[in-house]
Amino acid sequence: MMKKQRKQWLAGTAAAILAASLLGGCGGSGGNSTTAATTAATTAAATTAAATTAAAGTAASEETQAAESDLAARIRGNTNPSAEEIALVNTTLDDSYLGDFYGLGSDYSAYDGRFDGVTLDIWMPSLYGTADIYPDLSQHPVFKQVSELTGIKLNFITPTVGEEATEFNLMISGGELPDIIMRYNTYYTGGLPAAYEDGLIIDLAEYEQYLPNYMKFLNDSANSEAMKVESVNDEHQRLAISVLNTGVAGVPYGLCIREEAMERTGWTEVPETIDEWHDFLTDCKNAGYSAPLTFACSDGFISNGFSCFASAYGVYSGLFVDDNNKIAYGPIQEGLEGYLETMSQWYKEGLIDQDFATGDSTHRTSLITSADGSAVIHNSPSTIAKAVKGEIGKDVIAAPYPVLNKGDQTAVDYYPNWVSTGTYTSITTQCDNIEAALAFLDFGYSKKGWELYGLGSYGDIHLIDENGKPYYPDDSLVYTDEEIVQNGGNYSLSKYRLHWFTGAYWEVDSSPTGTKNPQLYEILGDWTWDSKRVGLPPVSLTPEESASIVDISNNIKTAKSEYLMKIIMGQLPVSAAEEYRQTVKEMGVDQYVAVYQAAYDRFLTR
Amino acid sequence: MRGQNIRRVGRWTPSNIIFCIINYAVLGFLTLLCLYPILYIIFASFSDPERLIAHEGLLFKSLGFTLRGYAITFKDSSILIGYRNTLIYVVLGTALNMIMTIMGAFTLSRSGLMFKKVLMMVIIVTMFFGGGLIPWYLLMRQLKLYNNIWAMILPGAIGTWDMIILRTGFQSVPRDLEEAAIIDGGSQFTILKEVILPLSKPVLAVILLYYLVGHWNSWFNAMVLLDKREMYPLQLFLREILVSNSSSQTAVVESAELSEVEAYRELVKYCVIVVATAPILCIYPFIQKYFVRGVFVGSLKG
Amino acid sequence: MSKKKKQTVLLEYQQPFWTRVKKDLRRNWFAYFVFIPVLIWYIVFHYLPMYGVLIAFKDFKPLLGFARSKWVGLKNFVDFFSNPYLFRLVKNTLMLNLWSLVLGFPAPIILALLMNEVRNAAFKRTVQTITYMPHFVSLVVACGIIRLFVASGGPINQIVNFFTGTEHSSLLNYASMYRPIYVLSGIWQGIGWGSIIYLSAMASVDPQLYEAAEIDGGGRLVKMWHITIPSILPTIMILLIRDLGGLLSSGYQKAILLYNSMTYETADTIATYVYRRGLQQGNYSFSAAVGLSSAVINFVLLYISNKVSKKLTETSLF
Repeated sequence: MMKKQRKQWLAGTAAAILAASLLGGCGGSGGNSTTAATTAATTAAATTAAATTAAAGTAASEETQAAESDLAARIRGNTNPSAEEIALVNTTLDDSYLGDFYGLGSDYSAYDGRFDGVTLDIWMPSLYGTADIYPDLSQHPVFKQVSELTGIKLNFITPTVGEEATEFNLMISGGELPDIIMRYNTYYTGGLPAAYEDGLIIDLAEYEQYLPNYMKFLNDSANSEAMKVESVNDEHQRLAISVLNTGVAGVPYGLCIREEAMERTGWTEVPETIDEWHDFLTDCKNAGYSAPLTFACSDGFISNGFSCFASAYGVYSGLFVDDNNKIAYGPIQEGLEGYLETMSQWYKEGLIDQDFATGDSTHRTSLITSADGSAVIHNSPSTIAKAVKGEIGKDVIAAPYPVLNKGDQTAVDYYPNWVSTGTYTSITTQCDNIEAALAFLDFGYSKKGWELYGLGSYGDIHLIDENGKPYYPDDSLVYTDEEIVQNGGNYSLSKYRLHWFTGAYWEVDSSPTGTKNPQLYEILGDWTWDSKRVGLPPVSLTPEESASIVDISNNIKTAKSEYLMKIIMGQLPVSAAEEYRQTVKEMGVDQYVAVYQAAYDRFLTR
Repeated sequence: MRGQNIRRVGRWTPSNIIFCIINYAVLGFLTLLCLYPILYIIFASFSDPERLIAHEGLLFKSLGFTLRGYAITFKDSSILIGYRNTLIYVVLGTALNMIMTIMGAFTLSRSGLMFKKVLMMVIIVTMFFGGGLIPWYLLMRQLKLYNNIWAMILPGAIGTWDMIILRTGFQSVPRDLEEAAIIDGGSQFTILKEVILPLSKPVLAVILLYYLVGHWNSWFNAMVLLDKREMYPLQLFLREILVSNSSSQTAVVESAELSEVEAYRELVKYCVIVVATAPILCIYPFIQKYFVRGVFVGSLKG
Repeated sequence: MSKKKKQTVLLEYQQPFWTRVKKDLRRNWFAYFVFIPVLIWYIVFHYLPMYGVLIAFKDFKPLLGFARSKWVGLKNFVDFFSNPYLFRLVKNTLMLNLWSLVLGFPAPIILALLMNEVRNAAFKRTVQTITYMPHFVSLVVACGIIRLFVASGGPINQIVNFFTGTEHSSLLNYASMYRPIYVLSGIWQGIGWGSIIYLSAMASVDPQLYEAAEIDGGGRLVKMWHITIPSILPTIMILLIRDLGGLLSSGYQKAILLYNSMTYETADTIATYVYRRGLQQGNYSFSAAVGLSSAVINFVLLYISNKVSKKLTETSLF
């Protein structure tokens, strides 16, 4: 059934391949596994190609247009597809039933059977407990389907969760490398550049022709400019491909006020300035909240890695891009004393969770869920909305990042990544079939791959609406599966879908809860786009650079946490901030900034 | 009989009574202190996950009652496979441990060996200096100690401190008993079998316990040297459940769903601990009976 | 008898080396024979991979392997020893271990001695079994329980408030409280498990010794002091030597669960520093350099304590 579908379709597109390969002057490497069907198609196409090679592709695709639109008509808006229709969609590479989104590509020419019998070894850490459900990841329904569609067999090497670094380094020390390695850059000292220099991975810039959908998306996406810059390094090498975001949700953490706290205190508008926040939190305290403001914090910033409240004073938790477009170290900026003054005062007045320094996530969850715990939480609004809703049936109101004076522009210490950092996927130097490996990875950036990885299989998991957009119906297995329900939704992340796999992705399109609560993502967007964004873009350091600052970066981090936390909690006076600045200077913060400045300059000239 | 002897001799003088009261009080208090964490885990493992996560402070009873945590822990057969494998590794591994350790400790406990000090040094140096993980791993691969049962047994065949403790135990066997055996014409082997081992039962029991517990809790070698899941020991499966339940936090995307998970993560953590430790806790009473004072010296002499 | 032995030794000294070796082998062939597998095991599993110590002097990359990785001389050591926090790290490591030694080492001995005095078998068995259990509680849970006890409102926090007369937030926020919490909780977790070895040593004490003491009119404390303790002294000394040889080693697992930036001042140790510096990134050479430095010092400490113990109690490792 599936084979037939594919061949039918192949007959049409093979002409395009041939045309393309004739134009490119390369012979096409699929010869060894050519099936009878493709041979026939090639002959047919060859006759067409005799006229004008350029027109051949167009003619061939028009030829199949009729059959495709027929499929689209049957699937789009179909809320109750028949078994035959479900099987049809799940086994075809024909994506005409999908609308055009984000400039995703539809080039499936590599999956004409030329990779039949090829097996790829893939080292990939498991996320969201996926390996817990499928010890052999090649048995995951999505991978099974991808294997059938592309003809490529997959063999996953899954490290033990929590011990990825050890297992990765042992594997490479053994000298036998898999074909593809994923999400490994933090496990390899020196990251991607060192991995290339040491001969672990190859530069994909020479192989871009094997990544048609990836390259198309890079060029045609709405955020193409940013993506093109972020997807290569300073030497314009393509050492890895990453998850490309079709839409960025924005700064994930912000201030969330319980609606109920507004009612209890009689505030009708959310506070904007630091002074208003002080008044509001005081009112909350008086209204009975035991810890009016709750957040995760281990380094003096709210929350770790973000700089809420501090950004009002021009102080940030780490490196940032200042007004002169220069890199600066955030915690030692002029406004530090002002920020610490405020925080230590709030701590003394009991406006801040008194146990924030020792509190873990369990502690915070209990504050969030209990009725008289926190009024304001610095966290992801989606998390809070869930937690609070579950307990007392109230919603949360998202507040913008605070400012000093009314009317000031808010600032966030955040850089919206279009190319997801940390999702790097590379081809190793021992890869036997680079073409097949890239063809497999490229699938994730095609329309079909976007649908399949993001929302699982058609029929039982998702349906297609009138506009050709996939969605989860209410009786989708991601909502109804017994096991998912029993596990509190854990498996909904990964039992039927693989949204975290290398490809094009956006939470709003494919998260079972995200698609139901798009307003949460609007809030994140508002926080981000209305603010001055001072976050550092994903610059790349050379292995020598990263080695030269490893000690400095570690020491200044220790000093930051120690001084700022002690000042906020009143164990050191605010005047100790100056001593802190001196300490950090002695530790070599200037060298640290200079290294990043150089990297940033290189980034800007990419 | 001898126990009775002692009891008869212990007189109820006032100072004795006060000592007893204080002793019982101290031990009782300590016992309660040590009992609490166990109770806490048991209470937590049966609690309603939502209430458990919202709860702040100590637990004195289970919050609601549910077996769902255990259901998740036992949801597939891997736990049972793990129990079986662990049992095999524990039995074979401990057997080899005991043989090797006894042999080593016997030699090192002999007096008058010319090379004893050298041998002792050779052994002690390994406790401080080692080649680290990667050279060790490469060696294991070369020795073909990979993906087979020997990989679980051979690399840990001797615990150096256990051997030294056992040696100290052997050394405390009264010399005159050995000399008596030699005069009776016994060989070194007879001395080991007839004199030293029977007299060292308490310390042998302790070493046995150390090895048993060590094998029961070990997972690192299995993680590094085993590939096939059907060979995984229990701890590796449980670790998977524990860690994969908690590591989901590392990813920033899809935080919405993660908050739901948090409650179950808490619950499963406790269930996993109960499942992993309950069996090994039951071993102690069997070891305990070797600690009755004086039984062995007495029986041997009598 | 001892005189006669001395004479033999003296005589043997005068014999040529190989004659003595031959004699020794002939006399003790069985002892050497059974040691062969043990020695082979140590050579294979410990000495063959020991070349890895040298990665402390290299910029080791797993991919390149040992031979192809670059030599960097003492760079890793210089990095470690030039750290501005070095003094604090060493001091904290030593202080935590010293306190653990001073308070934690005698604790299981005392527990074993007290249990030894209990006549009621059922009570004794119960106490033994329960005090041994916390050893098996996973560190994550144990530290979670510690947090609850010392949090504001927790029982231990209340006790501290009662004695100091001031309110405290979680005691883990105070640098001065970290060491007591770390050490005492360690005792709590390890006291029962640690006492097992002493209980077993006490089981081998000859009851006749106690009977003799009874006849002489010795009380409980006298018997404890003059019979029980001397009998278990070899065990005590061996374990003490071991602990002294570990004064500069420390684990990071418990610390990272208990410490925070408020308590770095007393809580940050060599192990936690190496951990934070990026153990997870697989920085093998740096950790090897740190490991080697502390191993050398630990080994010297062990050697000294062994010498001292040999002098004072005639118990020694070698």
